Amino acid sequence: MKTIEPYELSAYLDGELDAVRTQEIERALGRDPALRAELESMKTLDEAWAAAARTAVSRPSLRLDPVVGDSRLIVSAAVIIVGLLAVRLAPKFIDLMTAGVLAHVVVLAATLAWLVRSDD
Amino acid sequence: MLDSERYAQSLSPLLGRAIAYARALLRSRHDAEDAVQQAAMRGLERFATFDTNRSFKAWWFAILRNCCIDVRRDTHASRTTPLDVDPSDTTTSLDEEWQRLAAAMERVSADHREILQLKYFADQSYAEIADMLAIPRGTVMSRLYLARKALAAAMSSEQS
Repeated sequence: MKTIEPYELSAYLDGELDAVRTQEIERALGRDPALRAELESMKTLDEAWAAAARTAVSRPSLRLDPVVGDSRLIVSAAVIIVGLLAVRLAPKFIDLMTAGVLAHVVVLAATLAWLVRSDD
Repeated sequence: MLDSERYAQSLSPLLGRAIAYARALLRSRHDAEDAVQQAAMRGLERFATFDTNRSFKAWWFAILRNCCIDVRRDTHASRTTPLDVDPSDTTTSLDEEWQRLAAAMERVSADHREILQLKYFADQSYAEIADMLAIPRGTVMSRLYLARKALAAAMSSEQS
């Protein structure tokens, strides 16, 4: 059996060694009191630190709102569609110059809505 | 099941340790909750591209670590030293326990501190730590051993 490295004892404590190496270390622990004492010392410190760290655990309240971004996309699309309809139907009710001004306003509003959505 | 539901289901069991890890890095409950909230939203945005062959815990805690760095950078100007503690975080003797541990970790090297925080506060396995830090599992093993020795020396010198 190859020599047990100190970092292997640390990994054994964490249950992170493969089954073969774990058995080898357990046999060595059975034969060597100094090795057992070293493991006990590591274990005492590890348990104290783990217990201290657990006192920092608490449950946060979280907000996950995936639909917020989707709502804004729908609103942006609605603005564009309404704008296009207005441009298409406006000439029936108002003169060409006014229709052109309205079209510019609609395009500007749609662009601003798109920029706001992109910033989120 | 929607992606957002799967994400929330995967994330829920990790939140307690997420707060613990963020508190160890930021030393403030308020900042830790901010970082966890940011990480939750960022993870949701990126969940569609999550590689299911990876550990979700390692992937999400890497996001959380980056959010903690962002929060620390944003609030750094309001702290006089990196070791300043939010007074509202030391109201009980239990709070003092983890604060003492986190303060001792500040006295070891950055590499050792990082692995100790992941092991004790984030409760990560060697495989998860290796994934997060992009280092071999064998390096995690040896580095954690040396980090524990350094932490024991730091706490022993504080007591003496």
